[in-house]
Amino acid sequence: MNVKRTQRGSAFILALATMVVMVLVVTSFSVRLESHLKSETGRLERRRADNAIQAGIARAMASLTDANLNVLDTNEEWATLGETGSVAFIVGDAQVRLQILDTTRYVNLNTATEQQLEKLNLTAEQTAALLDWREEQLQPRQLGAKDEYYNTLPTPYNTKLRRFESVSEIFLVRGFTPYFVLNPPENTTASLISAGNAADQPSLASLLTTDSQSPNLRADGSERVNLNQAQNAQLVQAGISNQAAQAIVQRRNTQGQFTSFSQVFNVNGINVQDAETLMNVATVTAETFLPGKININTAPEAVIRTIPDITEDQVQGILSRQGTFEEFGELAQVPGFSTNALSQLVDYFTISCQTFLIRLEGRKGTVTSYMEAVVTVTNGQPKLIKMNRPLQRNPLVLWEWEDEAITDQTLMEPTN
Amino acid sequence: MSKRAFTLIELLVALALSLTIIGAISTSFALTLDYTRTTPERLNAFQDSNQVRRTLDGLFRGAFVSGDADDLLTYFVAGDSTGQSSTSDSLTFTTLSNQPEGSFLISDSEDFEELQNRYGPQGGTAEVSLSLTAVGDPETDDTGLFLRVQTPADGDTTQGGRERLLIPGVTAITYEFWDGAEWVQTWDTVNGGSRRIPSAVRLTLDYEEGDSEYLTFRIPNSDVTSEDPITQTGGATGP
Repeated sequence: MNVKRTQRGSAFILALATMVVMVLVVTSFSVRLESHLKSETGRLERRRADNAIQAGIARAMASLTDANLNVLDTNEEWATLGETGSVAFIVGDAQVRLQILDTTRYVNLNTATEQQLEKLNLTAEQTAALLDWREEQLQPRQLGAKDEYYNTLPTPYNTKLRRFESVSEIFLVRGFTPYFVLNPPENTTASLISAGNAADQPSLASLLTTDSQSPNLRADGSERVNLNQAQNAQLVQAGISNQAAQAIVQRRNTQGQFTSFSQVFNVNGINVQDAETLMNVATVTAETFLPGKININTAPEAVIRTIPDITEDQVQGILSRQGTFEEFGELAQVPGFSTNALSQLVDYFTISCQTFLIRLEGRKGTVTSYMEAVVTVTNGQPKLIKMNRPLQRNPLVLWEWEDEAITDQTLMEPTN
Repeated sequence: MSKRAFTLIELLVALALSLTIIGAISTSFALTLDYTRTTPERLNAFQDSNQVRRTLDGLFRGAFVSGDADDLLTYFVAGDSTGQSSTSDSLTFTTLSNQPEGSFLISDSEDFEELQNRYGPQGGTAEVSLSLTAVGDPETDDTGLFLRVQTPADGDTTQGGRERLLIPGVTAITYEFWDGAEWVQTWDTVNGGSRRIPSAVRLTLDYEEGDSEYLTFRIPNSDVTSEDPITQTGGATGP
């Protein structure tokens, strides 16, 4: 009896051992196969997600062909398309979410003035280094930095002496670290950019662009009359009062060309009605596009607050009418904007925009891919000028998007 | 107590069964061993080639030349350094898509110089160059296609930055660029009269062994289309 029992036990153990070996062999085989399959599926899904992004860009560009660039209206299709990432556009078996933003809602790194930069909580050294980076002259500011500094770094490089092409270029400028640029400012007791808690302050990167441009046209798309060239009769024909027209021509003849609206509004005899008309119909430059202006219809509070010497009442005045301005001159109707105030502030503002930022998220299976594209629109023709991954690995918090789409929509040809 | 010994039938069945099982196991074992030996090689080669494709795709995606005629810091140049040939032996262009490293972006140091020490310059426009001949010391004796990346782009298309062997074993490469109407073999935004960039790049790679490989990359930022080819509006594309 005892002997037999032992024998039976050994047969069982033998069978068990064989099965274990078999299971191991099969498992190792399938693990290998699975890892291969996973990497291959991942690659294909990434491709599909990126293709969905391409489709999203095409859809966004289609909506921009009809945009009124001369007066930004946030009720138009381009502005509401995708409902801030709430709509998932289905592209085959992948999906894309998107949002179009005008670039005139940001501070332009290439045109921001010294005072504006200081309002962004930059130190005097950072401000000087940033201006030195983009400006042509070779002599650094007292607190700034040019080649003398950058050439002594472990990996030396030259000062750009040209405009920034991307926000990430700021990391090349002395004093700008990712921690400083990408996080909310730590020491905000000096000046709060946005109302509310210090913790709610926006990061520097979230306020910046390098691409904002505005068409220099009237609300109806016609040309503006150039105050440096037009004769009295032309000015009056454009709707400017006779008295103001005379004052402008006289000032031009005695003190030379105007370089800013500020100078125009300082001319004796220009009242607030004249200012409103001038903002609607006139310009002081022959340029077709003006870079770096801030849009009164779209700019968030934090961006408007970077404008030097703007008062709390003026900020609130703009915010209360934001989105409803139909002409640039209506800014003169906002309480707190006297001729004097306009003279200080008007050159920072615009109501038009021709370059747009498209935020995109493509998804296929487990893969999520993000992209930011910059599109410029000329004569109703949108053209992609830049396309890049966002700096943040997961930009949804910064973009203020939901984690998931709420509705979906099959992507179709846009209807005209 | 009736079953004291096995019958012949039982023995034969047991034998047949165990033989089948042993056969199956040994076959699958041999197969697995073989697979284990060859798969990593193939998989690595496959993933390397995917990696290369993704690297190049990313760099071409951000290819950027500004519209300013006086801008010497952005360019797209493919030419023959010897001046003897009508084809190109290297390609150098500027790109916006060479993003800062992830660990740089999340570093909490507030010391600019310390970060420069650790990561070198990060961000901005980078210069990218592809060539069969290394311009510096690539720290390898192998030959193949070299990739050179310099941040920030410095206006000197011939050198600078970090160089590495991107695709080993390449013996010859043909660069072709789509100008909206045809594939051309040279491109020069510095001396070519036009600052427009091609809408696609096609690389033909010849290897020491095996077949040639074709890699095609689209440049989304290019405004070159079949309705608006470069030959009509931009003048000559070649040097």
